[in-house]
Amino acid sequence: MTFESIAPAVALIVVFLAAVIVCVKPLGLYIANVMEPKQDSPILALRVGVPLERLFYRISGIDADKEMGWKQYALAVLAFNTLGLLLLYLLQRIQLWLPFNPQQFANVSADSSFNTAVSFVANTNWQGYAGESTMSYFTQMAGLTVQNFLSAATGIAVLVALIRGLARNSAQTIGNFWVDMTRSTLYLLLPLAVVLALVLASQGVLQNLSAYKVVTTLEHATQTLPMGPIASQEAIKELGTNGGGFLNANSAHPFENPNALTNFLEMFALFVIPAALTYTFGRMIGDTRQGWAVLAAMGILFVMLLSVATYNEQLGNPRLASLGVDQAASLVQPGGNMEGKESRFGIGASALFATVTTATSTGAVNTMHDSLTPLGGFVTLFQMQLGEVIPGGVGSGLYSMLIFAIIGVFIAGLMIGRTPEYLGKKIESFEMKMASVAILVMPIVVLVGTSVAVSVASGKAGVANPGAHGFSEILYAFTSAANNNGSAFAGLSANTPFYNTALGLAMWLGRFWPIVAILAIAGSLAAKKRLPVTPGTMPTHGPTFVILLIGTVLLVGALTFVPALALGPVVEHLMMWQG
Amino acid sequence: MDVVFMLVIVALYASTRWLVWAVAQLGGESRQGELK
Repeated sequence: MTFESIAPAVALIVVFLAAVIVCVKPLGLYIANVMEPKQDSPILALRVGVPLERLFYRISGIDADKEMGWKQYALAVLAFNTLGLLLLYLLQRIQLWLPFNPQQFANVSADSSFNTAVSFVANTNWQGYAGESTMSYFTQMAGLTVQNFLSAATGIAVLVALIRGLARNSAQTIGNFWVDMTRSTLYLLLPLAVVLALVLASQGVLQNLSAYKVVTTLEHATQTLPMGPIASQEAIKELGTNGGGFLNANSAHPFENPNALTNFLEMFALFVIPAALTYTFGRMIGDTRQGWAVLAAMGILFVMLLSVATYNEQLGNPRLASLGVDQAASLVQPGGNMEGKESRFGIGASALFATVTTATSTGAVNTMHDSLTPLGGFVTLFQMQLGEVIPGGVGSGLYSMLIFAIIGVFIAGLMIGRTPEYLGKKIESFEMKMASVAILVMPIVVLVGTSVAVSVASGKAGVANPGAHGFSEILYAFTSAANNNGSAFAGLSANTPFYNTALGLAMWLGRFWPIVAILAIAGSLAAKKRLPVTPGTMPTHGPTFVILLIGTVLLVGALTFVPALALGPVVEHLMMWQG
Repeated sequence: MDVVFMLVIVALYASTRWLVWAVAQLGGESRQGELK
């Protein structure tokens, strides 16, 4: 492989990261100012939105000034999301009798409805169905798109509650869930989604309510083209790190992602809010260096893994090379492993999208992950298995990373014989127990789920590629569900009662059980006194802490998943190169 | 099948609600332990 062959991919990565970094501070500052607005704020969105916000509270009977303790906050999260789950389930089960169904799609089956409802409420957007042959426009808009906003807002609300826990001093409350949901939806997600939807529509992403069109092709055959309100769902799919596409091929489909510009904007939209929230965190706790340190740790891990994915995809498949297939990049071909990829994107944009989508718990795809090289697939799997923290989903990425920070300072405290503290708050046994719950739920769900699926007939029945790759497909499915990612290796037939139920359970447990633990930590930390910084305090904004954080994330992820990874992508890679 | 999945949804809600209660109990016990 020459430098010329990898140069376009490197250039794209540099431009992408520069675009994100430039937006981190302004967007992060904006988010901090709208989530905790000051009186007479000059921000235009607040001046316009506050009357609307107050009207909403009045109609819904919410007392915006009344804050909640962690338990009340957690119960509100649970009640709201369970109600959303029930409503979305029912919507799919009766869609045939509802409007905006020009293709007259039947009611969705019970197991698929359950899986999809849990999936979208849990910000996973695992789709065991093909959108254009299953869901009516009404279900897509009123069900799936609405949950895309609400699940993203839930993540941001929980994050802001945790930040308040770290920022406040001897407080009994951590905010008001209804207010946090309203503000994150009204001032952040909705405005950005409207702008992005308009830009995407201008580039050719469809936005209509027409019936599907039957066209005659150049070969005089007929083809049915799906239609629909795609741009509006596409925007929040990316911005809210949801990932659920309107169409089955997701962002590989030209109606969802027509060109290089929409591809870049979609990747940018995936990454920008999770990255900016690190600045929001620093701002809200009164020390932006803390946010930059966390972002640095995330960035280093991301770039390391992105390099592995891009290099291996450009290197290609040695088995094809041995058959005399030309995989070199040239003016007439991108070279490398183009299986499952769109020729309008090539290697660089596909590897970057695959890495970004699994780093942000989104799960949207512009390339078939099942067709990635073994190490390319390893990167997508491993990023999820690290807990979706680099930078992770909106809200969920950072709150998970802060748990790793707490574990990291605890380990450091053990090593030097000092009481661990983070941002002036002592880390004691309760916080460590809750941090353990928060990080252990996911691996337990992944490993137990995978073990059951490879042991029972109904689990094994879904495998299309037996052997190491088939194992990877099952491992990937449970990893994706438990980490609320939603992407798939796609070689697995997962729209079966077994997988719909098992993965539905995995998605719920992987999302809401850690949230309970995290809110408990928030409540416990809020009640503590903030200790002054002394010469003995371990700084948590310097290179030492960044390395500690990276080490903690890698250690926990590697120790938990290396055996499973060894059986899947590692074996596959060794077999591929052995010849 | 709708009844089955309704029960599953209720079970998910109930189990998570139980977790909130269990964690709250743990928090109360921990605090008492620290006071000692």
